[in-house]
Amino acid sequence: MIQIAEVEPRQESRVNLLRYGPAKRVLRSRWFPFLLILANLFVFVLVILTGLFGTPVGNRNFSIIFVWIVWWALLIVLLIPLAGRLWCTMCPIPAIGEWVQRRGALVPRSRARPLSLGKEWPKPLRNIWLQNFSFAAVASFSAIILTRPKVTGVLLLGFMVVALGLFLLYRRRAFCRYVCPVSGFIGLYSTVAPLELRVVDRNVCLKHCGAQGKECMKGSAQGYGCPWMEYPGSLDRNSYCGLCGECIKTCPLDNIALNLRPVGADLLVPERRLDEAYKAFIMLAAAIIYSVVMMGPWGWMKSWADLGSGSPVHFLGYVAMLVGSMLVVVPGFFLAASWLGRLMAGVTHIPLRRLFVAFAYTAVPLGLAAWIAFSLGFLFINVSYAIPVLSDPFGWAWNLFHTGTHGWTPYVPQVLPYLQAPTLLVGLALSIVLGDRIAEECLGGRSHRLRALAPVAAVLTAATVLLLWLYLG
Amino acid sequence: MRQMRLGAVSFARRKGALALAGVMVIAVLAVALGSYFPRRGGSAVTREFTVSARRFSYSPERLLVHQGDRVVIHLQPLDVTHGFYLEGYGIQTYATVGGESTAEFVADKPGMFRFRCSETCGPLHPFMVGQLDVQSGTRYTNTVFLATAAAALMVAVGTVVYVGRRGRASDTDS
Ligand code: SF4
Ligand code: SF4
Ligand SMILES: [Cu+2]
Repeated sequence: MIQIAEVEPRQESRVNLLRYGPAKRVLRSRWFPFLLILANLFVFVLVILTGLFGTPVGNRNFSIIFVWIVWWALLIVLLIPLAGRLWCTMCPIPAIGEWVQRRGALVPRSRARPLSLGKEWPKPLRNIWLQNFSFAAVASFSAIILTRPKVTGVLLLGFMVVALGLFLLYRRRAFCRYVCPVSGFIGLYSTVAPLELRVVDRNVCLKHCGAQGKECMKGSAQGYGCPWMEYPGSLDRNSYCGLCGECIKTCPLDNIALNLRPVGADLLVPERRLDEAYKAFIMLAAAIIYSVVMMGPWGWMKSWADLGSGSPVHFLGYVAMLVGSMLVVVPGFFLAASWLGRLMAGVTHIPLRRLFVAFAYTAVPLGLAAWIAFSLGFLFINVSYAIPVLSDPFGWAWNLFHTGTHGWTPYVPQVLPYLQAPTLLVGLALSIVLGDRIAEECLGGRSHRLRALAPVAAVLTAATVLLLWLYLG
Repeated sequence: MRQMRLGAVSFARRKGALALAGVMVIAVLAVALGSYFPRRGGSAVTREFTVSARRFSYSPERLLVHQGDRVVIHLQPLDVTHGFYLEGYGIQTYATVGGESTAEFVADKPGMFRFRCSETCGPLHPFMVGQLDVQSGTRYTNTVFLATAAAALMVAVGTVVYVGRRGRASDTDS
């Protein structure tokens, strides 16, 4: 029996999945997540091989279809909204590097020294700015990456090599934590997910010290110390826990919980950072620009974005437009709204920067909704390319499963508006609810908070209408 | 006391879930209303377009018709073989360079419909998109967009009112 009085108030609405024996047994086994990673590594190797050696025709090449349609849609439509960083649990990119660093793939060898210089990550880079820039860089070349199998193959191989290098130089998963271009937004949007890894009781962690204590950080014969350099006892947001499950294995006091929890709970935690704020802007801006360029009818934009066929000057123009909206236009709207809200609520003693950074988090639910709506758009239309590609991954006219000649079939495009509009409007509603909480948090009370919120709510609504116009107008 | 708080939390949660379900219903209704909006007068005519296709766009890129019009589209690829697939209407055709193919249909559904290339024609082929605007009635309006945009405004105002009430309703609890 759980004694309610012992439970921290925030756990009232949590359900700890590890209370179910089978779930715990699976997550404690060393085969988890090893087998998942192995399966994905197999696919990943196939992606790199087909990318490098297969047909240059993107929609007949396994790499393009399985990375940019199947994986991407799964990630943004299902994994992140439902399970946060669950992708990082099974991601193959850092696998080789991590196994090399650990000198083993499966069984922890607690006394073996890691194969790594074991340096500490430089202090000024202990944030997600590097990930903001790595994402912006990849995003700038997206029209080429998304359409050229070779580029996709080289890029993913490059990620793996960079990860390996960083595993050899730095402690643990420095690559994932500070460099990986997708990590930043997975972390940011994972705050929305109704799943979290936390400790059952923080007091148990606090008392558990001394030579034997804190196995979650140091590692033990059961598992490795937290690869993401987190201390589970102080986790209060999903952003930087890679859901790798090591601490479930190492904690000798059975104090780790994998909770189902209310949607978006982390967004109410008043830890607000400028690097995360910019991540939120960058993602919202990217969703809008991608919708314009890839879903819109404007051919000139496509040729500007496509360095492979267009002129470098035009491409620079496209990059300026993309990066400009990420770093200037979208943040500019939020800055103006925060300034106006501050004025309207008569709270000019509160630093503008504080409101600006805090209100940026309202772009998280809507941004995620925009990405889901955008991804649904191409998923339904283009997922049928996956069928022939399964039989003929290299585009060499193989027919492994007799599906090689299946033609392109867009599925139920007429249903799309019925999915996209509700997704966007739910995102808008959640963003405004969050904005209300943030206004309360910044103003230190409830009075005038709606006045501070109003301009931000207007910007969010305008962004929603713009997205509706791009998808349905 | 704790019992009461627990009760309040689960009540608030249920109310929140209900409100979100309400938002979804509003959005779905808006799309449905926009799609089946009764057509205002104006007589249907035949609209004929010659659409040239070149990697990776169509020209003209947007076609404007009125609901009920008979639409005739002549597809003329200029560089390589291109296709034409109209979402929502399910019409598909293709033509080779120098050739022409014709698609003919009645634009009975209002809204914006993308047409896209259905013949692999190069790297950006999956993004080769054009747009057919079927406007309902004589006022040049896309009712699907108007209805959903109005729903967005409703949801925004409704949410602000909803969170505004939270202040008054729960001022007493801690
Ligand atoms: S942070 Fe990046 S590389 Fe690391 S597990 Fe997640 S997606 Fe993979
Ligand atoms: S907190 Fe636990 S699950 Fe999360 S990254 Fe660290 S060890 Fe893995
Ligand atoms: Cu084409």
